[in-house]
Amino acid sequence: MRAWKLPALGPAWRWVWLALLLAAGIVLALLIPRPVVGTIYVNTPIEAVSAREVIAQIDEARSNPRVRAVVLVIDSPGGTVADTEAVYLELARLRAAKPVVSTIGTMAASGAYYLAVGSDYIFAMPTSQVGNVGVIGSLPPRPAVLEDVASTGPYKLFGGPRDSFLRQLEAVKAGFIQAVSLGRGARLNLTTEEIARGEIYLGSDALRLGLVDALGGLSPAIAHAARMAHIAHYAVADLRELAGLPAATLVPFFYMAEDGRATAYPLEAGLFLLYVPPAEGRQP
Amino acid sequence: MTRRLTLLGLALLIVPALVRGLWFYQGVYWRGSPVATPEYASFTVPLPPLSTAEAPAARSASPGAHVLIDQSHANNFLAAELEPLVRAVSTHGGQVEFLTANDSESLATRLGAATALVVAAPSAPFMRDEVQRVEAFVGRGGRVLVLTDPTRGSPQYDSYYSDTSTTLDDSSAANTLLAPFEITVADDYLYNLNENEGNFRNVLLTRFAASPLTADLGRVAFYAAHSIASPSGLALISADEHTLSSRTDRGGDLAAAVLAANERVLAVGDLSFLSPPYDHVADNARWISNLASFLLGGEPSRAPTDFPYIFSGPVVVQALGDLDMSTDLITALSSLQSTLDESGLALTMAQSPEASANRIVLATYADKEELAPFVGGFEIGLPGAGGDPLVTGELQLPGWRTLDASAVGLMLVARNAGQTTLTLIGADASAVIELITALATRDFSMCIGQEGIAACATGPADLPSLDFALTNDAVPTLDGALP
Repeated sequence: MRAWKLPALGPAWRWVWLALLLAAGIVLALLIPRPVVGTIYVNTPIEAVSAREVIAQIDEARSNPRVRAVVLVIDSPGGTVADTEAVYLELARLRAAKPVVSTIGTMAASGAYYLAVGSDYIFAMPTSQVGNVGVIGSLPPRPAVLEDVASTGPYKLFGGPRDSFLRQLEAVKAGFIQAVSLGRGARLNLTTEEIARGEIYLGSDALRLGLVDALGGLSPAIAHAARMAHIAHYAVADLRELAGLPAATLVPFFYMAEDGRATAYPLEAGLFLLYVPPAEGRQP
Repeated sequence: MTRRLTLLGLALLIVPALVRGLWFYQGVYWRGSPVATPEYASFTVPLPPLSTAEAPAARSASPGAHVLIDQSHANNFLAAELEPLVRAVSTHGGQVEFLTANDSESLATRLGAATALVVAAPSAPFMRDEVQRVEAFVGRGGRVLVLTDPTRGSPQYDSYYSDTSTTLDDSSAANTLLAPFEITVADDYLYNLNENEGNFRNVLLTRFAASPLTADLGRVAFYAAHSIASPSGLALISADEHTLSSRTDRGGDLAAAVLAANERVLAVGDLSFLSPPYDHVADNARWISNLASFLLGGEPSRAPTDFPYIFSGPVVVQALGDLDMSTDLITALSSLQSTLDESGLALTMAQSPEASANRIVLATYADKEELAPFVGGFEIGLPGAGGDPLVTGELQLPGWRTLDASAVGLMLVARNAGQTTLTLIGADASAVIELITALATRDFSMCIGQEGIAACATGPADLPSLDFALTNDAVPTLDGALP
């Protein structure tokens, strides 16, 4: 044991030992990971597949200690209600541990804005389209008895009365509006009634109304996320790659017209937090 | 020395990690408050306010109440959607008929039989002659109910996914009919984001003007409604200041139902409230009942030219005086019977029919005494009447110049207690036959008249003998009450 004590070493060995300690210190230092600001791109309609992939990236961000902050890069018209809510709730879990900042590109409408308010800070471009808070859905068919299809109840085939479907929209809308109120808090300069109008605002207007926090793109969003996480000299990484996900899966979401044009309407009926832009020839 | 070296060694071990750590991490992320998410479980589906009050019975229909529902103007509704209103009308004795675009008879013609007209969600404009006939119908006391609905006037897509649309604006189409009554339906919809009936476009209305139409109403629910304006009409049902128009996003003075034209024309901005389940929300059932009463209350005066629609039931022919039942007369009556039969009306003959029967009375001017009960309400000066200033052979009608009785026959329509009496008077039997023939062929080209009276050229005279027969004096409304 004595041989391991510094005084027992000769002068030369002392320097060698110190150099070894320094090397060990450097190795130890190198074990401290460079922090990462992870980016999650939401640039497709929010549906089952895209939501699952975003949630996988959120899981990666939460479990990966290198990822100290997350930037949500949003450019989406929204999507289905349940998938949007699923991503929103996962974001809430992530925010409990790490800051999340959103940056809006061309559009964060409806469900996409739902996700944006689930972050700590929102950036938008001056001409981004922001808002469109509300729910849409096409009513189910009028209940009828079908000759060739047997069922066990009046709404087994139709899901419910048309009137009930309309009222369900209100319950979904209430959740959306409360999410906006909770997410924006005192920063919001709109009343609940004004939010419920479902308007789309330009980014500059959205800033004035408190729907977003600042104007800017990805870089300031990353910098802000890093500041919130108290990190510096960080790396930026796409969480899709960190999570080991393949390239984005394109899932048909919008109905394709017979002439091959993509319409603004969802392929399937249901409840949507979705912005359907006015089509050519339609009255505003 | 040893201690110093030990500390140096520790420093060499720790400092690099410390430097690197501080290089990257300058603080600890800490969230002050937990992340709040919506209380999803607290959001419930809003339920409609069901009325606890039973809908009062609609007033009983006056005999002959006949409600015509127009479906000839590319109307965007299904007959089933009006079922609660139709049931309320029918239950209380009113007759309901639909006029479709495939019917051989026009709206103008069918109005002759109607006491009330219902127009719902039209998307084709009303032609000028149709508007004039409806205007005359209202002037005679008929009731008109125009139902519009923003959900029926919105862009209609040729195919849901094709993005090609055709605008079918029910407000514009309805306005072509309502313009003479100074009613304008706006191309908008009312909405309320705070207090509504399950959706922002379903508005609850609580402001009612005093009217039998709004009796016992506390709150009605409209399921997307146009706002309606009328400078001269009565804003029957109005929205509160929190209910806004989609056109301006402003509220105040927005009416969803307007009554005009001496309370004979009612325009309502919604149609959906009539359909189940909305017909039993709030006081909608009472409102529908009141609408039925409104429709049943119309008793328009009849013009002879409305034949055969002036009758709503079996008709008895009664000949007065010494009118000879000649072969020609019987032939003419047979033709008349065929015409009535086409309208589902039976024609019989009787010398002394019951007072309550629908009658066609045949007479000549010579039958002054027997005619007296039938012409008493018309203020007519018959030729040669004792004591009057007219000389024999002259005929005086109220507001008309003196006519040559030998060349002019009269058709008089009177309604009493729901029964209609059509009196045909000619100079002689052949003149009466000519009048019957005019009725049977529904050719009134030789007749001139209005309200309940028509003068027709008969015998040797021709139509020019009636030229300028009308004076500038207004012709009084002829009720023609019969004994």
